[in-house]
Amino acid sequence: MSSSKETLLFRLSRLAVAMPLLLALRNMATRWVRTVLTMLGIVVGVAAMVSVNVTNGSTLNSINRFFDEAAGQSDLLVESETSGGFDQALADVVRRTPGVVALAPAYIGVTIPSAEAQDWQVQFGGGGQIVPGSQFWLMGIDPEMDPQVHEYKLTAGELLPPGETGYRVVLVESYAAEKGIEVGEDLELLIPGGAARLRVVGLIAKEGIGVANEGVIGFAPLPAAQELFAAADTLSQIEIVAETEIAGSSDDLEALRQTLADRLGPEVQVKYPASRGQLVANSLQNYRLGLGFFSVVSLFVGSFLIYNAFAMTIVERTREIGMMRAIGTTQWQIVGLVMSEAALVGVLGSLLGVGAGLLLARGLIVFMAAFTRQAIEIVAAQPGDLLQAVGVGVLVTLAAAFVPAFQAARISPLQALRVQGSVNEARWLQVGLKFGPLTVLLSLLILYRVPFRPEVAYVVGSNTIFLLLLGATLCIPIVASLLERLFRPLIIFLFGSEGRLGSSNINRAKGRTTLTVAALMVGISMVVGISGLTQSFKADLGNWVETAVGGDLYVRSPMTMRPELENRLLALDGVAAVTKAGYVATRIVLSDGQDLFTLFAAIDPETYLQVAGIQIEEGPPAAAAIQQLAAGGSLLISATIAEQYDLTVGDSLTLDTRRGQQTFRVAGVIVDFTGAELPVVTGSWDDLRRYYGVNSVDRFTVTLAPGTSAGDVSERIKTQVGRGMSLSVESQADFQAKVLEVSESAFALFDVLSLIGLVVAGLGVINTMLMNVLERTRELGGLRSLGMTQTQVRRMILAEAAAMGLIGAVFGVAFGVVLVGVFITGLRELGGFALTPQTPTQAMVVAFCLALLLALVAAWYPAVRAGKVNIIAAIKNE
Amino acid sequence: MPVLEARNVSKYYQMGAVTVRALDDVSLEVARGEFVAVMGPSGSGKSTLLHLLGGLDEPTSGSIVLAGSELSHQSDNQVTLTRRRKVGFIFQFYNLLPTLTAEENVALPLLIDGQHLAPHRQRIHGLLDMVGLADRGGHRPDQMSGGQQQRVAIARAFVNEPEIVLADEPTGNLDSRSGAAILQLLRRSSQEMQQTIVMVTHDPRAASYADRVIFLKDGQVVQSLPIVYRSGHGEDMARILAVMQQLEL
Repeated sequence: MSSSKETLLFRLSRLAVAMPLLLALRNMATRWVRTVLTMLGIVVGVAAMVSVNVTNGSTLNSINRFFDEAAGQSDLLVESETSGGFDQALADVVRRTPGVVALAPAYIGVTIPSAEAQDWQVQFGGGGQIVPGSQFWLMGIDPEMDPQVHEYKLTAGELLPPGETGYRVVLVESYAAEKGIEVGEDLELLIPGGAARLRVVGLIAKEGIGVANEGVIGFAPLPAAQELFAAADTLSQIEIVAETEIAGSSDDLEALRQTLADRLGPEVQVKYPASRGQLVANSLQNYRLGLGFFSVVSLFVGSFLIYNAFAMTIVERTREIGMMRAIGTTQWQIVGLVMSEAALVGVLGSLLGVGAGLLLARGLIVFMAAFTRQAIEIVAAQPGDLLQAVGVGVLVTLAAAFVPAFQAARISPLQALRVQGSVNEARWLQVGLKFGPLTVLLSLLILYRVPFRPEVAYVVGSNTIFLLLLGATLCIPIVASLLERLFRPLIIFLFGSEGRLGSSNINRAKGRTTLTVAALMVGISMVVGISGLTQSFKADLGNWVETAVGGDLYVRSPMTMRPELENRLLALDGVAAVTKAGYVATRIVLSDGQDLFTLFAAIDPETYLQVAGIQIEEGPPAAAAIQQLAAGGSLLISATIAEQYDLTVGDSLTLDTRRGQQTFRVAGVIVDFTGAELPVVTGSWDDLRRYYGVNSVDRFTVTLAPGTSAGDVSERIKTQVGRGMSLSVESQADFQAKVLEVSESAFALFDVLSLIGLVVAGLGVINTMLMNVLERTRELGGLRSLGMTQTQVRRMILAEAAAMGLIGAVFGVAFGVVLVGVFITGLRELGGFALTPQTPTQAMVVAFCLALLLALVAAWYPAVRAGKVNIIAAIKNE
Repeated sequence: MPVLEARNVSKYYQMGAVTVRALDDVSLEVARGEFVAVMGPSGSGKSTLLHLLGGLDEPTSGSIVLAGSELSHQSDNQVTLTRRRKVGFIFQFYNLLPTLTAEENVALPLLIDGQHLAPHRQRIHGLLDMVGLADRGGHRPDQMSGGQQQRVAIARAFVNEPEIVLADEPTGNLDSRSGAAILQLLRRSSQEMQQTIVMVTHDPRAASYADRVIFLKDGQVVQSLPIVYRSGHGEDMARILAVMQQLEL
């Protein structure tokens, strides 16, 4: 015997477990193209999951770290109930409370440097909040007390000395560098009624308190800041450090919080600093859930690919497996063999998927950062999470290979004696007929007819979508041949007479066709579903901007504006009507004692309807609703609030106001995007003054006289009225564009995920067509021997893929339209957004063509391979 | 005592409303070291008989006793184990695993049985040597001719020292020279190693290598013809052909 070297199989034969693994490895290596394709399915699925997890984790981490760092050592935070601030005397109450070791009272004035006043515009972020860093915070602090709570890392000059009361400021180094300000120079800020100069005495690093407001912050003596913003004896917040023992025990800290809340009275709220980050995090909750859902869909489609690949390799190896059974391999050994291969492919694919996911996450985080307008630092994924992703990838692979493994085990040893392996294709049709329509019907019933409690709605809803997907997949064999006949003329038109052969070939391997079409369906439906949702969102947003926001020009200022400005605006040439609006933060007191952060939007009932409209969802017509507001004590609530708290017209709603808790009557439910995911209530201007003591305007909305140019009036507002007030004037079109831009960046992430879905679908087509070509090598050789040219063979294979693509497109578009409805229902149930569903006609057409194109591109390589079949070898191939 | 015994074995298939009698009350005994050829026209039931003898299929009635154990009362797992340890199969299309080398293909039944291969190395090499492929142990099936592949399959069938080797048209796919080599190999193993062999064939030349030829027609054994093997064996072939003519096979 010449072969003196022992192969690995010989050496490891002692290990019982090694046999199936080694045989699997050999098989994978020999059929490497298939192995790579199968593995790619897992890689892409796991990568989608990991990247979304890392993105979500990094986003939350950045938000939380940001607030943690800015909060310094503080354990508790006292904030005003409303935006107006609270009495400075409360600081003494805090100081005298046992358990408090240090406190940092502060007044925060929001403004901008005078130099930027010219073209300043407010920027909205994804959660509806103003983008951090787009406005300057002047934080008035006690120079002696503040460093006990916050960390200041001095990099130049000096910190404010204790007892300092003058117009001096400490800036963050990065901000100073960006604006070209050095120690010893002055910073000029806009203040109510003009501008003020503060001498820069020191710079600190963008660490600790320096991260607040993205570093766009300056620290001045408390009395100076209060004086500049005409807020004598007013504080915005007090941060508190508790005794170490109290801080270390959550019960004791809660007791201290309660004591402080009791002592300080209803004007303020005592909370944990982390709750600020929580608020931002909550506003992204639905978004993160949506991303998570789509990443799971990718893995789900990946599992189709894996199933298909394993089912195919079983068919291909029927004789081989039959032989192994004949020479004494038990059924369980066969299952073990297939599952070992699945485990190997699963582990390798998942590991690669984790790597790819980490890379992909870097890209997704760029989108997420653009969406949240927040610098997001990628966090190292937790080893536990990565391990979990590998585990899920392996499990999905094993689950997908389970049925093929059992099919393999059921192969009779007699099959070894037959020429060709075969599968029972009729079974697909039987199963489809039996369960397909029923599953679809059942899942639609669950989605639309069964009410779920909000806490389980996401889990039940997303699982039902998977069920629906499964049902649609089972329906494919029922209608596939019908659709094929329908599309045949088109295929013949596109591919000539070979098209006829190719198109009808899809009826031969029904199982394979079904799963490939299903993969295409999911990819395409994601494109259609997401487009539909985006389009619905944009349409409603556009409508809202046009009707509810109304007007032609919006006048804002980085500082508060006096109501009297209205008359000066109205007096301008070309202005037909003006209305004012103001916002304060408040809380809704719920019946169970809980409270909810909300925005009180005040409109002026006298002038509002001259400028804008209201989109009433429920309640009296707009004019009557506004009249009720004018009478006082009434509110219009957003559909978000109505949905979440089960409120309707005539119900009462209690708000925590400056004058204590006040009960309002719900006069109507309206469409309102003002706060994005933050709930908004709309009340009257008089109520704003009466209950919140606020008499400053956040925005004037201006309607132009017919035939007037928006540009001219803008200019007039800026020069004639706004001189020295840094008014920003924005046209409706600009505002709408800006709002839409934010929503587009929000949906960009989903576009990436639907692209992943398409990639998986494409892999599915490659795999199926390769298998078809391989299985029909003999037949292809026969056709070539009969005189079919290579080009004709290629065309025939492409025609088959095209037929699959078209059927996938029909299912994908249909399922996509259903998904639009489901997404919109889901958004209403989970987020309270009441969108009007739009049919994404354009996206449907694009998706249709995309499916065809994808199938053709994916089938190119198999088609070329089919053309190159060696005729002699093929017809000899038994 | 026979190594293999079929007692009143019948196998019926239901094809729609029609019952097809593939085997009808067949009884048969094969002694240790005997080389039996089964002949008959297509559809006579010879392959069905081979499948039943090897436990690949279950008879509708009757019983099969292989090396003292009754197959029909065993579970699939038990029959599989019997097959693994007591039966060697040779297929018309060789059925080697394309991913394994010749040597590994020969060792496959031992691997499936969970045995460590080192102690069997000598034997595996010996078998490859016996089939004339000592220098091809490291080759994969696609690097070998049909005749070579079939010789690997024979070595594989012998590796676990089976009680009986069942061969289904082992030369059906080979040219006459390769076919003759395979048949001589089987003949030698029967004579020198006392290997019991049952071979299905419709080639009288192949059948003439056996000790006995059993003729099947319409699912029944119609004649059993003893053969005295001679190296020329033209005479035996003539006798076989005569019986075939007589039986209108």
